[in-house]
Amino acid sequence: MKMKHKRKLFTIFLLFFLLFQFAVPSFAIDASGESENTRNAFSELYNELSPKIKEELSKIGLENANYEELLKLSPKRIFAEFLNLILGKMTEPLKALGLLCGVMLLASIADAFIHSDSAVQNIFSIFTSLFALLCILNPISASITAAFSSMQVSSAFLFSYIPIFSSVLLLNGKMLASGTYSSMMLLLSNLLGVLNTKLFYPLVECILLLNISSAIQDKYTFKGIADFIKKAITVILAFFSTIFSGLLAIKGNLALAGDSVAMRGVKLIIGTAVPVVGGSLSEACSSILGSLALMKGALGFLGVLVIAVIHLPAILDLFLWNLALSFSSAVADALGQKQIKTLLDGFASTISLVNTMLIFTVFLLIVSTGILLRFKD
Amino acid sequence: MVKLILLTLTGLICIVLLKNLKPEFALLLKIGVLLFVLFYLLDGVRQATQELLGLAQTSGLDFSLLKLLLKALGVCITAQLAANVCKDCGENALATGMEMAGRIAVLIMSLPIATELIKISLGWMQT
Repeated sequence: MKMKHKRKLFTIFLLFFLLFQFAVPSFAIDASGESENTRNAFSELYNELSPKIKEELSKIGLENANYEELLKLSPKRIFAEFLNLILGKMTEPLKALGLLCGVMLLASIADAFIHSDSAVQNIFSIFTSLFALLCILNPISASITAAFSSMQVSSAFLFSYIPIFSSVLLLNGKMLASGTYSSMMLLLSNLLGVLNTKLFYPLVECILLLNISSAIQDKYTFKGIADFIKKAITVILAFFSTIFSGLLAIKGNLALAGDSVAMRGVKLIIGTAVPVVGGSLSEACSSILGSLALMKGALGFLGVLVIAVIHLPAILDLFLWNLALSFSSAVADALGQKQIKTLLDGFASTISLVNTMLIFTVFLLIVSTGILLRFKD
Repeated sequence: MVKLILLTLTGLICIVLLKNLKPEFALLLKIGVLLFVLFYLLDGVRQATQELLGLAQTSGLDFSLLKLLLKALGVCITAQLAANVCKDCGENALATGMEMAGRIAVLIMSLPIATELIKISLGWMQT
């Protein structure tokens, strides 16, 4: 009996000995150091931003390189600023819309007074077309230039990813594993960035000028050439977007789990609202959201804010111009102003193309940042 | 408006009657009636133009360009009217000349617009 008791005591003692001997020490991590690092990185990133972006950020309440200010951002203020941005961007297209409607009304009055086959009518049609062109060319060219400047900023940003990515790969020792895939993705996005600024911008200018020439006189039409160039750009964009969405779908390393009803709604909206690359973007929607999920930290949030501040005004501006021109084109059709309608249709389709390119650039920037952050981890 | 219609109809009857007796007076009467109609309408046109320009001013649109457009419209209508009178008199060459004059006048008016457009295009291509 005593022996049994002793054995029990020995077993308990042994268990306690082993428990304390091999126990894993655990304690709460002091988060103050990590948060200090984040604060420093946040300040560094903020100070690197251009004054214009800082000014835009201050409008939503981010006035200093202060980490606490980011935590205090109110969605109400961001939404109010977004609304202000829309209202501000609406002024120019609405002005042009009013002026265009006035011009078209006067042209239709002239049609009522003057014979349609007379020489005076022809010259007046050219005059009204030139006048309509003058109303829209300056603000639209400014919007297109702003859109390409945004693309240039993104392209430069994407280009800076290559050395960073190489360093990250070397440090991780993943040169031959999934590094090849990600390198290809980054290379493709860089290639498209360069194509956007070096090749597509002059081509878009050509399309606009050819459309203008076709609208002013109907003897020599260049609409076919303009359509061909537009189709070529569309094919290149569609090709790139297909490769991108295909690669993302095969790898699926950035995709979020599940395909919720909300996600399907987002996919449907993107697929129908964005021309040319809308289908591919909606297919790659999970990957884009996955990339955004990787940027959900404080620094990532600042990155998302900066991307929005750089691109959202240009996207909204082009979208509103497209709406105004499409409405004016419908009015021109109703009033029987064929020349002005051709001109407005040409401008609307070009603006739609530029907006597609811009949205696709944002998509590339988000996905590339996601890839970089995934490797950083 | 009723006054104008009555005047035009009276003028028309007089012109038809005079055509067989004194064709040269018929032509003068025709031009006289046309000028009277134009002057009668001028007040209404001035009011409409002022309204339109006021609307343009409130919406912040370019005032001078709209004025130019209205002027071009006036020139076109007047030139067409004059060409029609010439055609009625069987003077087709004169009618063509009148149309040509109207075209040239509008062309001269469109030159500042064309220059402005060329400047914008050139500036855009240089960026």
